[in-house]
Amino acid sequence: MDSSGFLKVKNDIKNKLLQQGPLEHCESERKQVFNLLQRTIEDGESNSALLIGPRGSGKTTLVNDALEELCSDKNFASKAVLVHLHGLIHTDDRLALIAATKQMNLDNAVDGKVFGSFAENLAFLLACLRTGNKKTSKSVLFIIEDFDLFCSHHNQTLLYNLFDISQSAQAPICVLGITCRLDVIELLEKRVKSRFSHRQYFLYAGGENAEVDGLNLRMEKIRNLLTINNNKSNIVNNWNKSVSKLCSDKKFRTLNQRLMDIDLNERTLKNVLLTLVSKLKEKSLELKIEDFETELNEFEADEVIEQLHDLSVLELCLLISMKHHIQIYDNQPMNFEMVYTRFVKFANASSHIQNVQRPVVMKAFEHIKHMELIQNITGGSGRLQKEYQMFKLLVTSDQIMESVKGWQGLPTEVSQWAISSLI
Amino acid sequence: MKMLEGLIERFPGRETQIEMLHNLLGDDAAADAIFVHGGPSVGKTSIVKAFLEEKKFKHAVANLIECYSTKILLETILNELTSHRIDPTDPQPVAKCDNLMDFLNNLSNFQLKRAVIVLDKAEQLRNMDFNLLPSFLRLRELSGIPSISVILISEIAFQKFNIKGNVVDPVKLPFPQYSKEEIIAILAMDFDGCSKLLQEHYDDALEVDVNFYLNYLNVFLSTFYRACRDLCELRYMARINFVKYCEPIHRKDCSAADSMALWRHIAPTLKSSLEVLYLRFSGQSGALGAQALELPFYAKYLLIAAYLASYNPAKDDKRLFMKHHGKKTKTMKDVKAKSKVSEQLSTQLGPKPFSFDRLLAIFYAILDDKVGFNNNLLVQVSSLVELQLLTSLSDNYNLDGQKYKCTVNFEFIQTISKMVGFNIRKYLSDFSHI
Amino acid sequence: MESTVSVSKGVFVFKNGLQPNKQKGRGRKKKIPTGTGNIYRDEMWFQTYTELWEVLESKIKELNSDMFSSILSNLLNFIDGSYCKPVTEIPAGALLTGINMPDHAVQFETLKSSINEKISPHVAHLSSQDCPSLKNLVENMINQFINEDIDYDLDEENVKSTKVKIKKSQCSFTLLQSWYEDLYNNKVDNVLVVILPDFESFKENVLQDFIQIASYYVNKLPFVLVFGIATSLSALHKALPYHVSSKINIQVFNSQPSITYLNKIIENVLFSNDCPFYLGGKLFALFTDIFLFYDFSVTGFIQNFKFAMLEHFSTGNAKALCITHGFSEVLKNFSKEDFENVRMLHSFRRFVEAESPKNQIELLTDDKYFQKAIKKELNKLIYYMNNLVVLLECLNILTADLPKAPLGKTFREIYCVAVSKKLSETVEFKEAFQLLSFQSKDELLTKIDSVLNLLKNNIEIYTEENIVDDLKTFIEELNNLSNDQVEEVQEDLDCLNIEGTMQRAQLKQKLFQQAKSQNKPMNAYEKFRSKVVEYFEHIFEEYLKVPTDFTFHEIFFYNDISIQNHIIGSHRAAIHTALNDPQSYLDCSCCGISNDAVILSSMPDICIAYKLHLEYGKMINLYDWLQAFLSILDPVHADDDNEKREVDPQLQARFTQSVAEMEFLGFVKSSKRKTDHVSRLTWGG
Repeated sequence: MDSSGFLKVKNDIKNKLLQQGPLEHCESERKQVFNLLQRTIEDGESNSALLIGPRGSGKTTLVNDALEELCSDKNFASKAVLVHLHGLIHTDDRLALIAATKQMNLDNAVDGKVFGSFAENLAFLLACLRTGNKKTSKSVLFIIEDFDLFCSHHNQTLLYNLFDISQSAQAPICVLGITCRLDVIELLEKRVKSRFSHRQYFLYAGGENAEVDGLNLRMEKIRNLLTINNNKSNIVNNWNKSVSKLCSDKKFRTLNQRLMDIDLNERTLKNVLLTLVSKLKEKSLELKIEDFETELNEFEADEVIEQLHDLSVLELCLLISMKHHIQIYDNQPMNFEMVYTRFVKFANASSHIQNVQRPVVMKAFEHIKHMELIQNITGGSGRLQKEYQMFKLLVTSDQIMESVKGWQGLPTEVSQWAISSLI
Repeated sequence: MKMLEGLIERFPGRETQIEMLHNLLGDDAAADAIFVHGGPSVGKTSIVKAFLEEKKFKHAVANLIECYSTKILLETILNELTSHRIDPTDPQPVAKCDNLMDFLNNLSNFQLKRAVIVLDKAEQLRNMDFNLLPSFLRLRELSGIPSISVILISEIAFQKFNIKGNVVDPVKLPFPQYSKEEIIAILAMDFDGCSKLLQEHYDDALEVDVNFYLNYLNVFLSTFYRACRDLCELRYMARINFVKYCEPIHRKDCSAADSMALWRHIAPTLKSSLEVLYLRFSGQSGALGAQALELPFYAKYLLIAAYLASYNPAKDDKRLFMKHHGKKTKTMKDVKAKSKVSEQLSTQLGPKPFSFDRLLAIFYAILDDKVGFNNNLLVQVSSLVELQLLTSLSDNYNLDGQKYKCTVNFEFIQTISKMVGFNIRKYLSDFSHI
Repeated sequence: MESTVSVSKGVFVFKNGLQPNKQKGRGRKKKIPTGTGNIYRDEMWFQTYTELWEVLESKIKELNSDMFSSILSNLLNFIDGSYCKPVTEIPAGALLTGINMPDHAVQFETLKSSINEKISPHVAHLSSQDCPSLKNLVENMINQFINEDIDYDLDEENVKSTKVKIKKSQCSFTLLQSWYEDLYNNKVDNVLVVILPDFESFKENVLQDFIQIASYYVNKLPFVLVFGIATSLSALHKALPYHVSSKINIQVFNSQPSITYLNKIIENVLFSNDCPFYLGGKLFALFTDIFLFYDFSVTGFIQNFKFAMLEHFSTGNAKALCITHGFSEVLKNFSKEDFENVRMLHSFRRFVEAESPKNQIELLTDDKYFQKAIKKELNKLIYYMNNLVVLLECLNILTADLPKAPLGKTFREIYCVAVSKKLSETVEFKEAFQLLSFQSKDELLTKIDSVLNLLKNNIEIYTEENIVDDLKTFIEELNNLSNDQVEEVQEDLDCLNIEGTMQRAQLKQKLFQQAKSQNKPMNAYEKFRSKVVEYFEHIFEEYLKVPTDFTFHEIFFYNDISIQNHIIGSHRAAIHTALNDPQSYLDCSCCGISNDAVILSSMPDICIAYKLHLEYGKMINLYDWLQAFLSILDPVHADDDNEKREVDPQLQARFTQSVAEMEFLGFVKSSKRKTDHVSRLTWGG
């Protein structure tokens, strides 16, 4: 088999993994959203709604899907204007308004004009859209992503106005908020909340009945993600075969169960699969369960312990002495002096650890601090000397012990000391 | 594949990482966000850079410490992506962007084909505008440019980034610390540099071969590897000591083959230089401590007094400094003091603030010869503050009742008091009862 | 110059306001500051003073420069060589300057300029107060690099490119980089030197960030950092944690300790032959003590010295004679009073009494005759002083390295003793010469040699014996002594060592007797040695007199310890006395008070306010204060004690004024805590 073909297949799979997959198992919600939007466009009635669901549950996909269909209508453009706002991009209402103006392409209408208040400005925008009577006027669809972030804006002006308009019979608009925060309603101010229609649609990762047969769905998803349909070269067939074989495998199922127990989010699954696929070599174009398992282990592995393994023996010793400290004085904070004295006691007792100068130990200490394995809890005053700033340990003693175990070529004295604080 | 070989040649012990980079970014279907993490000097930045250069990808590398404000950061990225060179005669960015929105707009204007944005020292993002970190992780989604990828480089584990829980997990690419063998392999690449050093020091180039150098490295690491695994530090130390290592050969004391003799000769040097590990100064190490510091006589005593004032509880002053404070009977307190665990010693807990009056009182108590209180003394106090040996805690309004803290450690003050022949331990309530 | 005078003025108003010379003194000091328009411009003593001072000043300057030169050259070499080999960390020079920064400001300036001309045109000099934040630091530095860039051998368009002014806000590292690339078309050429003279006072995080950024560019922009560190390297590591300090390589440069600096100044400037003004022992000791005990500030020392000079000269035209030569010219223009002024000197009295009655008349009446006498005496003094200095140096050479240095290690110590009492009679002197007579042959030889050299360099030394020749002969003899002769004594010293296990002291004693004792035949060397030692002893005996033995010594030696109060002032006490007992300064008849408690209405308002406020606690109720104030100023109304008597606005104004003055002086400050109260800032007066 030729490498180009292989590469192509590989790319296809990766692309599938990277792009938003097709919409699944939330037809009803899609329908509702679709209708909502449609009503605004067609019969010009104003609406407001929230679409709520955890990350990766396909909210955006859903909306986009719905919009696609709407846009497919040839005279959509004449009937409606689409305004996308994003909580991360439009971090305050001013930006949001500018963006809105742009997307309504009313820049020319606005420029030069000065507005008293935000509301006037917005009203003007909408007025511009209103042409003739209710029927013919354009309706505006506000799609607001990361809706919750807009709640943090200065007294929620934008939301207030949008909802207000959606209530009063001005230009027909539809405000569709998308968020992953279930408590988003609580974030709304009273006056804003009262103007919101309280229409909410909930999405669940893998549909409502995820609890029941989440695993099956997940397997289904994996199969969809991995199988390629577009071309029917024999490479592809082999590949698809291997995939189906994989998915039907018992062990693979259990592994996936493990993954799901850690994290339901589709994103993580995709990441895992992506790394797997990108590792694929030309010779063996199939996912091996072993690979998946190793990948999974890597995913589960504790980053902190990895970090600890990168430390030098000296630094590890310091961490151990901190561990002893928090065990003796149950989790009281400590400063360098204490750690140092404890360490020196040990270093003097042991034969292997060369006794290093105090400033050197200080440097090691600082390194640990820089890696954020310990955190300074002394209030503000940078005036206080380094030696006396109080720290709390961000690593659990279990993690330390773990790393001590897994450490190659660690002097036995150190590992013994790690176990018992007695020297 | 060819270029990969080259890279792997250049960066020993980083094969897996380089291949992974290639797998994730190599072809058109590139991962959208990659998080590269690992300790200091494990080749994170340099490898990523080298890879992108090899691949001829359009890329922007931004160091978050340098780009301390959003504006600078975004504009720098744009400049680099559009390979717009700042013109010294009138430095204008390719496009002004004060916020993320402008950035994204410009980004889409430039119709980039294949672009990679590298953010070094990414941990800094957490202290900048809240929206930057999550946005960069979802940049492809937000910008709608399918071929753009972001690489975050940091020394800190990703879990420490996910503070508000509003970030999506990127693909993680760990750079573990080098193993001892790898370190040797890498340091071996420094051989030419070291032989140059030799030529500088011993004008007659005594020829040493790579194996000789490798032997040296083994000897060297046997001492240093425990205390330090930071490659840069090791390289620095290796360079310094190699010259000394070759000294006996230069002096014709022993042959390059006689590794035993060489070891005997270098061992003490290594030990001593292990003591100044991380401290990074060539020249005399005596300059490090207090003995290098020359202070006027009274200033020394003022400093000692300050130290005593900040490390003794005021109630002990009478006992410690008054000539006839009466027969001192063993109180319960002393017994307790003896049984004090080290963590409660005031020398462990740090200095306490003290008033100017108390400082003077102690100063006169410990000073043998009588000296009038005059301006020059006052000036000394303020100059000690200036030198960061004391810190002043109160505002400058009050002429009296100024509060200070002493900010020198015990070794320091001990050397100072030795200079003036003053036994400090005798006057510290932590030790005085011993 | 201005500075000292103002200092002296500031200090002068203190303490011993009641001293006899006060009036004159204060009057004088008041007027000196304005260098021109100064009424003493034409006074002879003032002219001599200024001439002398200018000489000294220039000498000090050049001394400074060559003091710093050695370390400077080291630094320059370091900077120059820093980028010869491939660098992975930023080279940084740590210059341990010693604690008194004021003395060092000049050094960094010279450093900057010399880098500019020798190594690289790109030097940025950043002081901590200009760099409160990373932003300011970066902008500052780059601004200095790009805008203040002096063009040297560059082709035209480069020069042009560097000439355009860049707005500070536009300064960024990317800009710097492209500018540098343009300048040297992408080669690493001239280094970019960044000087931080006061490292300790920089904000830590600013430095950290800066260094990290710089290290990020280390291959593109050749930075070299120079830290001026006042305390010690530990300060550097205090400021820079691991992940920063691993980005730099530090090279340490120790500048000379300020004590050696001082000694140099003393020996090469203040006691050079063209400085006829000498400090008396007490005063000299005082100044050196101030230096050693309080501040290692050489500038301070020099200012003190200058102040002493002023004091000395300003006592009249007699001091115009304080010159090395050309007395006759001066005397020519002497007026009657001037001669009287000279006759006033104490030592003259003794001189006259020694004379025969006839001469006495002459001296007291006939100025012509008197003139001759003066000249004679002065020349004596001049001889004396030259000998004094030179011989003391010789003595120093001989005795400096003796065990426990009985006469002190440095010239200044010997000098202190020598001018206050007759040296050859002191115990230390005797002891020193005992020790001297145990010197081994070559020790002695080297010493004599160096003494000889010294003398050769100072030709103007007036003694009957020609010391130089004598020493020459000594050396020859010494060389002629064959070693074995020396040996014999050596070995019998040894056997003597072995013979008994005795303390060093006893041994010394024995040896001493042995050396002295004639009964035991001395070997050639010993004989010779004792001869030499005696010779020296004699010389010093002869010429190391005390200045006070000489007539008119006051003209050259100044030893008025009373100026101590001006040198070491204590402001608080002074202000207190000033406010508490104004008469001590005003000498007005009205304000005399028996004890501190008394408050007189005649006193200045502020004094009254001050004395009243002493009676209050931490907080002072303004109204009460005002009442008390009024009750002093017009007791009449105070008696009719109906609270609601309206206050004379003028008095109230005066009160407010004085309170404002108190606040300005920092005795009180308005408090937020209680309305119409002020809080005291000092404890009870």
